[in-house]
Order: sequence, then C-alpha cells, then structure tokens
Amino acid sequence: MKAIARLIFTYYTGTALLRFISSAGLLAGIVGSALLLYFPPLTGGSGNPSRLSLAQEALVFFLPVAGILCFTFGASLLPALLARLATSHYLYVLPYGRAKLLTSAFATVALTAVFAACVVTMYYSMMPFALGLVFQRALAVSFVTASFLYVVLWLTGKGGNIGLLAGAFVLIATLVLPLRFIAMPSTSLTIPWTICAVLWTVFAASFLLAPRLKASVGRARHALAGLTGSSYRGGGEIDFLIGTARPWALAAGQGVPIAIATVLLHIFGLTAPSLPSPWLFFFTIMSVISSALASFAATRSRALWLRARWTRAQLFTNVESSFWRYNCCTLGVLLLLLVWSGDVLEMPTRVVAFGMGLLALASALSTYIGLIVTARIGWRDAVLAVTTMVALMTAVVYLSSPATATTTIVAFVGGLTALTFVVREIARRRWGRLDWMLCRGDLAVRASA
Amino acid sequence: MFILKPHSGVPIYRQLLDQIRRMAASGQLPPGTELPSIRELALRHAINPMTVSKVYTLLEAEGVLERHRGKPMTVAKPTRAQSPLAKRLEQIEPHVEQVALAARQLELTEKDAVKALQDAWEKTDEQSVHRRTRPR
Amino acid sequence: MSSPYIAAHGLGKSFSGKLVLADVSFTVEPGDVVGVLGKNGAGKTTLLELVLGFTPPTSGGVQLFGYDSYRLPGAAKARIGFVPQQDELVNQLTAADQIGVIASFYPKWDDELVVRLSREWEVDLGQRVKNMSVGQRQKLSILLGLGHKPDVLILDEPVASLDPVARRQFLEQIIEVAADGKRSVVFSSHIVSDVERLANKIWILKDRRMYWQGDFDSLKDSIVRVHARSTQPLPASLSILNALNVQRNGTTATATVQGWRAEMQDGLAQQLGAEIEVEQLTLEEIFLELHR
Repeated sequence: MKAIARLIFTYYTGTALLRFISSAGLLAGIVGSALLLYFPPLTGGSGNPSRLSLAQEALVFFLPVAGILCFTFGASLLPALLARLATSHYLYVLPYGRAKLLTSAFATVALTAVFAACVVTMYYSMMPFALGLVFQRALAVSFVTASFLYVVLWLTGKGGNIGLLAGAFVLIATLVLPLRFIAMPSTSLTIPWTICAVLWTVFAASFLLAPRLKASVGRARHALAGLTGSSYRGGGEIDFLIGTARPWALAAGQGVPIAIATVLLHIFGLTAPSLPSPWLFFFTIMSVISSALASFAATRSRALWLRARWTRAQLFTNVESSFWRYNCCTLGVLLLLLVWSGDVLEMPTRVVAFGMGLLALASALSTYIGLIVTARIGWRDAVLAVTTMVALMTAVVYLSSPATATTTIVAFVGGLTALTFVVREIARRRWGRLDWMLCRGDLAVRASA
Repeated sequence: MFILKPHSGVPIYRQLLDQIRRMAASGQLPPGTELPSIRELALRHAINPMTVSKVYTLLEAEGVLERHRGKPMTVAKPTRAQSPLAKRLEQIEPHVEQVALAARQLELTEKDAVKALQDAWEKTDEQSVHRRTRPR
Repeated sequence: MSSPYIAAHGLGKSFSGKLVLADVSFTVEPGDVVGVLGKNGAGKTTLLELVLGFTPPTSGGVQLFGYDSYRLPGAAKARIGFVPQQDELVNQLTAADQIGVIASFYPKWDDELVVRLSREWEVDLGQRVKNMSVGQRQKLSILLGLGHKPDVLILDEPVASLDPVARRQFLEQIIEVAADGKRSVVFSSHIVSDVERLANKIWILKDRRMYWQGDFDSLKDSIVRVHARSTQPLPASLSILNALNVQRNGTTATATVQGWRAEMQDGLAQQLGAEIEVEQLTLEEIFLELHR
C-alpha cells in the first residue's frame, strides 16, 4: 500500500516542473469548476443570454480544460517511470513489485479520469441533465482518453522518430474517440468500457507475465530489427547528430493517421459547425509535437563542438537551418492535410486560410522554445512555454469562432509572430554562451535512452 | 629479452636500465647486438616510449650503448674504464642485501648464507643463465 | 623548445555555487602521456571539459595550441581528439555510418587505420550501434577519436568497460600514438595499472585541487614507505618529517613519507636509532596512501 501511494505521489511530483504543473492543474480545475457553477455555460446553454463577452467566456471555458490537461500531464512521469522500472532488475526482486507497479498505474489513470469527469460534470451543472449520468459518461470517456494519453507520452518519450510517429498515431485516435461521444449523447457506454476492460486486461496480463515472455519477445525484436533503421549516404551529417535526419518518418506518421481520421469523421457525418475548434486545436498540437525534437538539440550538439569548425554563434545558425529543413518537410505535409481535410469536412475558408498561418507559427514557435532549453528547465522557461501554448490555443479559439473579427485574428497572428522573433533572440543569445556542463538534460526529458 | 614488472615498486626505467647494464657487463648482450627500436620495445612491454627513450639516452651517455643514424642502437664494446670493480659491485649490492635480509629473517647464520651463495655460484656456472627463473 | 600544446594557469570552476575545481595549473608538451588520477568527484571530467572548451572557467584560463579553449577556432579543432566518458553515438546508425558521419567533418581521415583497428579490436562495422554491448560502444568511441590523427588526444575513462584483452590493445594503440614524440595523450582512468605503464606525467586530483603533478618517475621516488627496525622499543610519538601516516608496533614502525630523498635515510636512521629500509610503492599504493 505504501509503495503504491509513494509511486503515485512520485508520478505527479517527481520533478520541480511536474510539481508545478500538477498543482497548477489541480488549482485551475477547481477554480474553473467553481467559476462554471456561477456563470452560465458557453454553448448549448439553458437559453439564457450570456452575460459575458466572448473573451471572458473563452477564459471560463479554458480554465477548467487547461486544469484537466495540466493535471493529466502532471503525471507524465508515469509512463517513463513505469517503463524504466518495468525493464529494470529491481522488479524481479521487490516483493509483489509487478502487481504494485501495475496498481499504481491503474490508480493514477483512474485519479486523472475522476478529476476530469468531475470538472466536466461541473460544466454541465447548470443544464437540465441528470448529473449522475453525465458523470458516468464523462468518466468512461476520460478513462479511455487518459489511458491512451499516457501511452502517447510513453511513445513520444522514448525518443526517436518511430516513437513520435507511433505517439502521433495514438494521439489522433485519442482525440477522435471522445469527439464522437460528445457529439452523440445517446450512444451507449458499453463500447468505451469494453475497450477499457480489454486493453487493461491485456496490458496487465502481459505486464505480470513479462518474465516468462521475455525470450519470445526478444526473438521477435531481433527479427524486426533488420527491417528498420536508416543508413547514411553523405551530406546532412549535422542532421544525424542533432536528430533531424528523418523528417519523412514523422511526416508519414502524422499524415496517415490524419487522413484516416478525416475519412472516419466524414463517414460519421461530423462536419462543421461543431468541429472547427477541436479540429484546428488538434492540428496545432500536431505541429507543436513535431518540433519537440528541438529541446534535445543543445545536449546533442555537444558532439559538434569539437568536430565542426564553428564558433558557438555559428553553431546556432547551423542547427537552426537544420531544424528548418526538417520542419519544412513535416510542416508541408501538415499544411497539405489541413487544406485537404478542411475541404472534405467543409471547414470555413477563413479558418483554413488563417489556420495555415497559425500552424507555421506554431511550428516555428515551438522549435525556438525547444532551442531555448540550454540548461535545466527553470521556472522562467516553463512560464514562457506555457504562456506560448496558451497564446496559441487562444488564437485557435478565436480563429474557429465565426463571430471573431478578422482584425482580431490578424492582431493575434501579428502578436505571435513578434513572440517568435523574441523567442528566437533569446535562443540565439543562450547558444552564444552555451555551457555543456549545464546541459545534462532534465531527468524527465531524458527518461529513455 | 627483458623482464619488466611495471607494478613492482621499482620504476620501469630503473629496471630496464639495470638489466641492460647487467646484461652488457656480463656478456649476455655481446658488443654489436642490436637492441629493439624504442617503439618496438614500448609496444612489446606496453610501456611509455619516452621511458625507453630515456633509458637509451642515458646508456648512450654512459657509453654502454651506441647510436647509429637510421639504424637500431647497438651494445658498445666494453672497456675496463667503463665498468670498474666498484661500479660492478654497486650493481650487485641490492641483490646481496636482499639475500642477507632474508637470511636474517629466517634466522640463518652468516656461514649458512655464505654456503648458499657458494652453491648458487656453482650452479650458475654449469647451466646457461637465460633458462633460469629467478627465485623471488 | 616547442611551445606546450595545453597550458593552464589558476584554472577554477564553480557550478551552481559549488566549487568543483580550484587553482589548477599545468602544461602538456608534445610527446607527453599524462595520466589523470583522482577519486570520483575529484574534478577529473570537469578538468577535461575545461581544457576542451565545453564550459567556461570561473577563474583562470586554459589555452589549447595557444588559443583560449572556450573560443577554440575551427582549424585548431581538427588537431584534437576526444573520447568522452559516456559515448555520444547515434543509436540508429551502423558503426560504419557513424564513422562516416564523424569522418566527414575532418579534412584528413585515416580510413585504413580505422578499418584495421576495428578488425583487430573485433568491432563489427556493419552492426547497428543500439545493438552493441557497452564495451563495443566504448571501442567505437575510441576509434572515432583516433581516425583524424589528432595532435592532442584526450580520453575520459576510456577503458572502464573493456576486458583485459581490449585494454591491452588500447594501450598499444596509445603507445603508437605517443611513439613519435610529437603527439600528446591525456587520459583519466581508475585502472591505475594502465596509467602506471603508460604515463610519463601524472596529475593527481584530490579535493578539487591538483595535489601532485609531474614526472611519474619522480613521484615514485618521492613517496615511499619506510620501515624502521630497532632493538629497543621505538618512542611512542614518532615524528618523521612529511610522514603521511605512521604505524608503530613496539620495535618496528612503518611510515609513508612524502618528499623523500635518498640522503634522508641516514639521518632518519640516526634519529630513530633504528635500521631503515626503504620500500618503493606501486602507483595504486601511492594513490591509496594519499587518500587514507
């Protein structure tokens, strides 16, 4: 019991950054719920006109959502720690180690799901729905989503393009599923609960039986190893050392799932107007993920210091160009998909047009935010990153609502562009003073390898 | 050719120095014998080439070895002046002291020790030295 | 007299308010093989990182080929080789590709040498890095530091994961590098026996300072163990000059002395009224005595 509680506590508070995010999420969720209790809901309301302006409503809507997201990501040590312990020798020696570890994982997912479900229920508290039912639905959906999200975190955390690829795939599945249930409240709950039960049973079984399955898994891996991997054909040496050598892998990994999701949505007949916000939100997140690689750049560039003939300032310029080459590929694919799926799902032209700009900005911004990480992630960097994300998401909300004036959107785009330049300058200055002794990488970031 | 023990207390250069001197003096390395190059010797014994270089230079200065341009070092012809009795006795001194110390610790008398030395003298006269392992 | 390859004076480094290295000065001449010894945490890796310009010093300075290390120009970098303690290999590449990537940065790369060594050291060039054992990866890292025939080769714990056969092969390669007297090697290692064989200069880092630096042979002559044997019980409080530690046992005593000179033997014999025997220590024993 003690071990399980300790594990759960560590998942949420393992590093300073996570402590901050978990507590911020908890706070935001609670405050947001309180706000929701006292203000009329944003959409599908009880018929009363909204007393708030659009901006204030956006804030009220986003605060609890941000709270849920933060609390979920606050436990992002779960996949890393679980994976690490699961493959360590410790687990064979600790009493009931496997069972306790598994229980802690399940409990954490449940905790996250319950929190999310509560907040969502608050959201519907002003409406004439049976709250008990709402809670059940929300719990079912959150549980599945949370489970998937942690799998995504694990896959992206493992590093390498295969991980990002797989993570992107699962993320899409994660976000398509709840959409369906939100849009059609009459669907029964058996499906998500069945999925949950099946997945968790399979996971638990393989986890507990892992020692016995090790040999056969090893053989399978060995066979598969021959098929993957890249080879070097001259040119782009920097890319190999920084990790930006295979953009097409991520591009394909994003492209295929998006295409499938779009087709599915089209089949289910889900089109605008209920979709622009999550759809664009989703694309923006994708463009941000593809640039998360940049946060590893400073640490990995250590190998370049003695090999390439550059000063630190030149190093920054070259690493930056390497990332732009990489981003152009992934961004290009995303933009194409945006236009295509916008067309299929009949998104308003304005959303698609500005969406393209927003995606490019999101990609650039997150690359530079990643490049800022030249030492331990301090609170200043965390605040900057969070502010940027919030700014991006707010831009998404405003863009997808038809009531927003074009000038407001243009102002947003302008502001974000300015922010990009500011962040770039910060990154450039830091790289000019790069000290690899400080660059050992945050523990949570380097959980794999 | 040489037995070098890098991990004994005695510095490697001293070991090599002593051995070459002894072998040259005793005739084990007759004049004109070519010694391995610095690199070869360093590689064979896995020691620092500068050590070997230092020894070779020292011995050249002493006149034990001769340097030839482009060719390996060779053992020089001994002259009486180069190894007087006192110097040769000096070289054997540490070994004799060790024998005396060991004998004392084993509570042998001086006569026993001298007898042992005489036996060893006869033994080494009969067989050729390089097959013997030194008792330690 | 050629100028030293590496020169440091008053070098110091603090990190998050903690002092990691203080007041270190040294030179490395062409042909030197320097062994850096020190307990874990004594500052060995920091010292090497300062020399190579990975991190700026907090006090003092260090020059490589006459240039300030932190701002090392491109041409000078081609003359340096570095083998880090934790390898920085790219997991997805094969060994051959990894070598190819690194080789492309240098104007001169001795392919033949690298291929020959990889065969002798049994590193399979076709194998993917992520499938290699720790020892293989370490060998590959060493190869990457050798290929461009650097004038200064710096290695941080290069043989920690190698078996004795591989270690011997590595030693032989270092001897080859140092043999012509124009290239230098600086390596830190816990395997004192290797350092004993190879180094002509020793740096001992203790408590974040350079405790000893200099000729290896003079180190061995300077720190010795002295055994005193007397017919009478020796005085209870023995004061031997510069003794690191003294053990007294009735009529015998043993002391480790620093700064020993042969002339001191007679004086000490008189002082204690005992027979003095001087024992020379192996490098490992010296290191242990210094840290007792």
